[in-house]
Amino acid sequence: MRSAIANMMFDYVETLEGIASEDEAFAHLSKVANFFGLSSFAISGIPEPHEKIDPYILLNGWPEEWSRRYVDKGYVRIDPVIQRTLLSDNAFVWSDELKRINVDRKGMEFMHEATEFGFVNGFSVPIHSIRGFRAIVTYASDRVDLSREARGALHMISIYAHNKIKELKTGGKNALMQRSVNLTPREKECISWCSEGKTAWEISTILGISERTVSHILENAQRKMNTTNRTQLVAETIRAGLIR
Amino acid sequence: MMHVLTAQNADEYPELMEKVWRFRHKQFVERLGWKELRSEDGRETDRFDTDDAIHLAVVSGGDLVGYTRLLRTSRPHLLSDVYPGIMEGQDWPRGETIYEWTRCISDDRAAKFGDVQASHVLITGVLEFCLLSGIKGMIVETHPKLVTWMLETGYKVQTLNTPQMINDVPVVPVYIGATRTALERHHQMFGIAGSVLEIDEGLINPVVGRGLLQRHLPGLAAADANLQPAFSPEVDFASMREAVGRKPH
Repeated sequence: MRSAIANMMFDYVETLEGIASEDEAFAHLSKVANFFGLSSFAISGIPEPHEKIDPYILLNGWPEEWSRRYVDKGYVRIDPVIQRTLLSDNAFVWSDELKRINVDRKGMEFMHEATEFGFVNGFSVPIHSIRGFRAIVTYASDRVDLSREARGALHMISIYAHNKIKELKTGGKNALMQRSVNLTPREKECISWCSEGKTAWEISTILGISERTVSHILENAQRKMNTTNRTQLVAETIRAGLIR
Repeated sequence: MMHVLTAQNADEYPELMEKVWRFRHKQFVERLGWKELRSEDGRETDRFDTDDAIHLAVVSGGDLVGYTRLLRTSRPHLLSDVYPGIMEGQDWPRGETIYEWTRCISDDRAAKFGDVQASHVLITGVLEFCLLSGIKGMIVETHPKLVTWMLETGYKVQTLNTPQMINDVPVVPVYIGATRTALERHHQMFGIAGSVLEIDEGLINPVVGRGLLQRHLPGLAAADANLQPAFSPEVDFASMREAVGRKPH
């Protein structure tokens, strides 16, 4: 006989195939979170230090107000859960792990602020994409009471959930990867600054090259990505996982 | 690129096999710290290195840069004999054409093959070999994080049980089917065209035990020609962290 927890995991994975939309994926994972007594969850890529988190958010189940604050105030930079996620591959309960790393004053204040939304504790799963992309599947609640088996099951469920939502975001069967794409490091650098809202002139100052060169680099990248303007270029590049 | 070594031809490659034992020791014991496998002579071998084991060795300019081993699940393998406990009494897929993928490792500082990393040649070669030899699928006992790359590279991953802790490391048993679709996805992701296998002439198919192993999968090169070149992944996977079983007596 399988345990109820193991069955939850098998059921989740088995029914995943039939999920065709992000809304369904959300509802599917909600059931899981509910089963494990966790009130909210989110799945997101982890941005580079100079980047914002918004384009990386894959599935957002945070309360609206908390989500807005998190994005607007750039909390991803001080969130100790994110810091811990970058340190190890193992899934973890916040209260177990955060005492092991040095959480600074800002981090403590952040964790305290989260309690306003009922987030006292949580469980997070670090994800490593084969392309070097880092992501997190994270659950929060007023309390976390997960057995070792439950943590293991939720770890696996989270891995499948992340993969599913990425597939849905990239248009199912890997459509973006079919495109001939091989951006140079310089192109990626310029697109990354574009995603921060910098103009070609500003980028040229940052990189110490001429504005003309920047425009040229971006045009090349647009052609490669089969996009017609810079906004589209940024969006497609992020979606394809070519910049983080 | 990837040599196939079986009971039939391993004796013809004494130097390469010696490199295999030393590479395994250097990578697993010295680099990854699997103490249980430590050996005084700096060679890592175990009781599963029998005539039934299939060794796949990625060689670049005479150097061994990647290695893995396939064990038949109808015979003793790690899941049956070293840590059956992780299945908690449940059965797992086994049979003549189901193999266990073990000891998968590459040297990350190794030279690339053109633009392709040794580790990518390694995991692509394993799948190509399965399709060529008639292996239907593989069981793998690994760290859950590697399930992400299995899914990304086109495998349908069937989780066989919840992860269990072995020496403080989570280990999950999974079954992955060998499919053409997954191989094409590997080629696309890693920018690989054509076969990565080097198969000796006259090598008998070690899976079915008779008939010559085909040299190439039919239609593989043609399928690659239709693929758009994919971008090169920036960061590679380092090693498939299988469970560290106690060294058998």
